[in-house]
Amino acid sequence: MVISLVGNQNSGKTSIFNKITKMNQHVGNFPGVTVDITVGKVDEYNDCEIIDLPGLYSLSTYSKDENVTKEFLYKNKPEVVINVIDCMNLQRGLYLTMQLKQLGIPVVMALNMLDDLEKNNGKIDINKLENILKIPIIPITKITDKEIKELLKKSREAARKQEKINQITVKENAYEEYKKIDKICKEVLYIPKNKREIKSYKIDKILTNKFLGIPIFILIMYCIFKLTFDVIGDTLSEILQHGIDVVSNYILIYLNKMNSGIVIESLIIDGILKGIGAVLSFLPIIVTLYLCLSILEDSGYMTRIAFIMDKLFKKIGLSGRSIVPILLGFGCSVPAILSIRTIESEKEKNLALNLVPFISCSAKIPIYGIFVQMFFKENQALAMLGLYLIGILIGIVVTICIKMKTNNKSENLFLLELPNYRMPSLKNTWHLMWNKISDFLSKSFTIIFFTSMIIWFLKSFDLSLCWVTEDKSMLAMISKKMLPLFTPIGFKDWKIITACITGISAKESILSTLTILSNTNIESIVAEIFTIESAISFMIFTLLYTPCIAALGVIKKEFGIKKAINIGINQLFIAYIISFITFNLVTVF
Amino acid sequence: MKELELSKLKPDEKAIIKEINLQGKLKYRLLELGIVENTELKLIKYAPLGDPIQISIRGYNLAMRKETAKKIKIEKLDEWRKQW
Repeated sequence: MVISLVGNQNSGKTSIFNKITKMNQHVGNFPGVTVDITVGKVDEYNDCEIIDLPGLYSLSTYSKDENVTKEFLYKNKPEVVINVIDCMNLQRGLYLTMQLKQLGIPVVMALNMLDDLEKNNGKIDINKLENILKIPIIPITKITDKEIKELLKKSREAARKQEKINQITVKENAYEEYKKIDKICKEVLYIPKNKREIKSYKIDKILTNKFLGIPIFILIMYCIFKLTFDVIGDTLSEILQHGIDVVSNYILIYLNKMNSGIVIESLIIDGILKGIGAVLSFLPIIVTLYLCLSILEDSGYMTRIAFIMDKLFKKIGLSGRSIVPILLGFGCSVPAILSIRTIESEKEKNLALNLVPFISCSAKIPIYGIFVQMFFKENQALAMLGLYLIGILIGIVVTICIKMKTNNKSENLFLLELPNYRMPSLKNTWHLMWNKISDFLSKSFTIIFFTSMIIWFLKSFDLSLCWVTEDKSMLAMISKKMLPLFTPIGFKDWKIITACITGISAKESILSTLTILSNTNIESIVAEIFTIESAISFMIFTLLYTPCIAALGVIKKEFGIKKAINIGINQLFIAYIISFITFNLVTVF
Repeated sequence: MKELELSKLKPDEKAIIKEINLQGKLKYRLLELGIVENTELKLIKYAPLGDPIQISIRGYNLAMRKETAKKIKIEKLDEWRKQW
């Protein structure tokens, strides 16, 4: 039996889902649904599957393609729908309920947040509402076990196999519908004043204050980045890297004992472990960043950032909604690109997609770290900041160019609910964070794994498939062939080209490739093959060129193969041009 | 009684929606959010850079751009009451 949860955003749907499934959930694939949907199991009922559908306001959406929830309901015909409603937001919730009833699928209402209503001395006549709507209503206060049990029991009673689902056509009858809803609400609901709303206004007096709003936003972002890249992320990354080294050593000793031979040994150590280690070692940075961003999201502040920044984003054809992908992009492009799907306007989606890869992801930090340390001893922080700014600036220029190329005015669909602030709960934050991290892990892990294997193969064998040292391998051969192409931007050693090629599999492998190829430590190889001019050119090139395979993979999944190739080539081209200009400018002066 | 644009409303002023002169996707979005004729709303504030605006309607808060608000005709509530 399939039970699906449907409700407005911020109705507490996901909290109920988590309680029902006790976090026993997975991402499922459904026919005809392009986006991943979370499926959960219920302990008591083995035959039950619970599906958490993305929050929405209406089924009669104007464009049909983007509505996952609607698509799911029509194609998969669940036996029963649990309609989660925030009783503090009854009017808007009921609009969706009315439409759900028209579908013909049995509807059971979970009337959520009754404790909130009570706290505000409000009242709701549930029996009357039940009589008017003619659907079972289960009151939910703090999502207790008892309430959930009742909810599941009533849902199972109401469930019925569906033959056909009524189509809801796009009608302009919202006015009439809301008139009916107003009448119902007048009869059953009484809310004197929403204390949480008043409290939110007070908080907003500071956080979205005319003068303080933007400085506070900048301060918060500064703290998050400081915490992520400096305090926590960096320390944890070092510890983890150390752990990986220890494990590698043990395995190496074990392999030696087994007399496994050089090819197997190299495959496991250089091929597999290097790839996994690369992903794992910068995981702490991502975890910290996403923890902070999830807190912002859960507390309600993220929507305020969108509110504050919308006017600036509008200038380059984006809206405040693009703030989430852009912030995530500082961690990793993979979840950033995935979050683009929450933007409604197709044009804005496209622009955001082109901007995000220019935001320097955390995998590139170690690279800048080494180069800045060696070539900009006095102004390390400034040089780092400069790189980030160049990335953002080029991204903005590209976005504006694309906007002008696609010409016609940007679509304005910016409507954003500003939910009342709430204390971020540990559970919700964890859940939000885990979603993003698992996206990152599952999408990038397999791809990084396979590309590490391919690169390992290319750098270990020559054309006649003989086991050779790296400087005679296929990879070296390719790099040497390509070297003349890169001399104009200052790359004078084939090892740099190899590093850039492996960097497409994962940016973390740029440094490790340089180390492997030289058999010395990273500092000496960098000092050997770079001058200050070529170092600057190289940093800018790594900042801007083709995103890693994992990011390209997600672009392909979300926007199609054409788009992925397009972005890959575009960025290579832009990186080359900008590096060429800077290299020649720096050489002249 | 003159109708005003929503974008002309000042913070803390209440009004009633009279007409929505929009088409397409944006209009449907507004309708399904309950922004329909004869609904009461209150302007809460302008964003720090002057755009978008925050309104309170049907018990929740919504941000919309001024260019959208310009297309929504309203009647200020105090004046509307005087009529009666």
